[in-house]
Amino acid sequence: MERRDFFQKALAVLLALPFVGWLRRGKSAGGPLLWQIDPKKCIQCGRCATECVLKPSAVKCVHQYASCGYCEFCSGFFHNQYRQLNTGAENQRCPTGALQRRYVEGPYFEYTIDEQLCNGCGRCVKGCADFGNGSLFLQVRRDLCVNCNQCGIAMACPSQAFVRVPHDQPYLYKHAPKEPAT
Amino acid sequence: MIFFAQMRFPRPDFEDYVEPAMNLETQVADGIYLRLAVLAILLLFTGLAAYRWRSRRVLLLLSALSLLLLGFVFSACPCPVGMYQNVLAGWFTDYPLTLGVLLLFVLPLAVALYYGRLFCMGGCPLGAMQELLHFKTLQVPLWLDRIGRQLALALLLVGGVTEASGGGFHLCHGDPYFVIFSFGVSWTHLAVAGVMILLGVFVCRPYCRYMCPYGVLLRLCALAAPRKIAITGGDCISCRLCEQSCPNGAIVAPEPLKAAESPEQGRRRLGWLLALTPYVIILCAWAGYSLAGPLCAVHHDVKLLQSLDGNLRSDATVAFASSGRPLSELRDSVAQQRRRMRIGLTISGAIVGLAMMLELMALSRRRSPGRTYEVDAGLCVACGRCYDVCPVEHMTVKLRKACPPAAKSDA
Repeated sequence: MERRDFFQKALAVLLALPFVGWLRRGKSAGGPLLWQIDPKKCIQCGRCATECVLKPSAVKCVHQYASCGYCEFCSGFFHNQYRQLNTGAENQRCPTGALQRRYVEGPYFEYTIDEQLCNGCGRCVKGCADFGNGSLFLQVRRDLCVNCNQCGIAMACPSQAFVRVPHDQPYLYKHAPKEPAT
Repeated sequence: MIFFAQMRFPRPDFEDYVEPAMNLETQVADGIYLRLAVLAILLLFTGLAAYRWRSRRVLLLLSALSLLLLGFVFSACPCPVGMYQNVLAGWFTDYPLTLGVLLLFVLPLAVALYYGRLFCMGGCPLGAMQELLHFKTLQVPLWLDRIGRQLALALLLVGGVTEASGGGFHLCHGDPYFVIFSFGVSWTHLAVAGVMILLGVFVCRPYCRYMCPYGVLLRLCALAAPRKIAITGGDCISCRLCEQSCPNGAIVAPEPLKAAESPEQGRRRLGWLLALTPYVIILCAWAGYSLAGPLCAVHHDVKLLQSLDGNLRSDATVAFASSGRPLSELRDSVAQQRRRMRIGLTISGAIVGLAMMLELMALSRRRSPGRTYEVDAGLCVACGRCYDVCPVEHMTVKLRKACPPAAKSDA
C-alpha cells in the first residue's frame, strides 16, 4: 500500500497547485465572471437573437437615454422604406414591435423598449448607429443570462465582442458610465 | 461625459420630463457557493449511502436529487466537468480564475482521492441522467472498453490544448446533454442528445465512460484512494453472482476464476502488445499532428484569416475591417495558435497511444493473487448495483438488520 500512499500524496499536491496559481494572480476576481457585450465592438450581426441557449435570448436592446436625440424621425424606430412617420407596423424596423415611442413635447418623442418583446436582433441598434446618435445598444441582461461557462453567442460572435467582466461591474455601457438612475 | 458615437442630434431641453431608468439591474447573485454547498452535502450523503448504508435505493435517490438540483434548479452550467478548462485557462491565458470555480473543480477530485468516484453517482447531473435512463445492460468487451476510454482522455487533452491556446471552452459547448438543461437549442444538439440517451439505455453511462474528460481525472484520483467500495457487506464466498452485475466493467474477478488461459498465451499477448507500443504511439502522435490543422479552425482568428486570404466577405471580416486591428498582428497570433495546437496535439496523441497500450497490457497482467471479487476503484462509480446481487449481503447483513434476534425469522 506504500505505492498507493505515495500516489495519493502526489495527487493531493497536484490538486493544491491551482490554488497556488490563484494566489499568485492576487485576489482581483473574487466573484463569478459575467458575459457582456462590448458595445464598441458589436456590429449587430443578429446572432445574439439566434445563438443564445435561452429562447428568447438573454440579450436585449438597452436605451441609454442620456445620448438620445428624441428625434421625431428615429432611424432606429423607422424602417428605411417607411411609408409614414407613424407607429404602423409596416413603418417599424423592429420585427416584434418591442421598440415603442411616446410623444413628449415639441417635435420630440421618447423611445422605450418592451423587454418582453425584444429578441435581441439588434436591427434598431444598427439603424440608430447608422443615422442617429447611437443611443441604443445590445447588452446581456443579468436577470436573464444563466452565465454558461462558455457562452454560445460568444462562440459565434464575428467581432469577438463578448467579454467576461467581474461581477462587481456587471454592465458595460455604450457611453461613459453614468450613475444609475434611481 | 465622453461619447464615442456621434451626437448628431443634440438632446433637447425638456421642461418637465424625467427620463426612464435604464433598468439595468446591478445586483448579481453569486450562485457558485450555493452550488458548492449543495454538491458538498450530496457528496457527503453519497459517501454514507455507499459505505455505511450500502443502499442502491438511497444512491438512486441522491442521483435524482443531483439531477433535479444541480441540473435543473441551478442550471447545469457551470459544473466541475467543464471547470478544468477554466483552471487551465487561468494558468495559461489571462482568464481570471475565481476561488468558487477552483473549489468546484477540486472538491469532487479531493473526495475521489479518499473515497472514490462518489461524484459520478451523487453529484453529477450528467451522470445521474445516464444512470436513471439505463435499463438494459449490454456488456462491452473489456478490450473494447479500455480502448474506448481513451476517447475521454483524448477529449481531455484536445480540449485542454484548444483552451490553452486561446480557443474557448469547446467541451462545454459540445456537451451532448446540455440541451436537456437549457431547453431550446438547435435541432442538431437535440439529435445528439437523443442518440446519447438512446445509447445510454443499453450501454451504461456512455458519456461517463467514453467521453467525460473529468472522469479521466476522477479515475486517476480514485485509483490512489485508500478506501474503495466493497461489493459485499460480509465475506466474499466467490460465488460469481456479482460478476455480470456491474455494467461499468468495474468488478475484478479473483485470479483463479479468471478465464482459463495458459500463462504462455498471456505472455505471448503481452509480448505482442509491447512490440506494438512504439508504433501505436507514433501513429497516435501522427494522428494528433494531422488533426491540428482542421481543429485550428475553432479559433476565431484562424477562421478570420482564412476568409481574409480567400477574399470571402463575412460578418467577421467586416468587423475586422472596422476594428483597425493590423493584419500583421492577426497573422502573428494565428501563427502562434497554429504552432501551439500542433505541438500540443502531437504530444496529446502520443500520450493517448501510450495510455491505450498500458491499459491493454494491464488486462494481460497477473494481479497480486486476489482471492475475492473486488472493484476497480478507478472505474467504480458507486452505483450500488452489486450490493443487491450479493447473496452474502442479503443473507447475513440485511437479514440481521431486518430481523433483530427478538423478532421471528421467516427466511
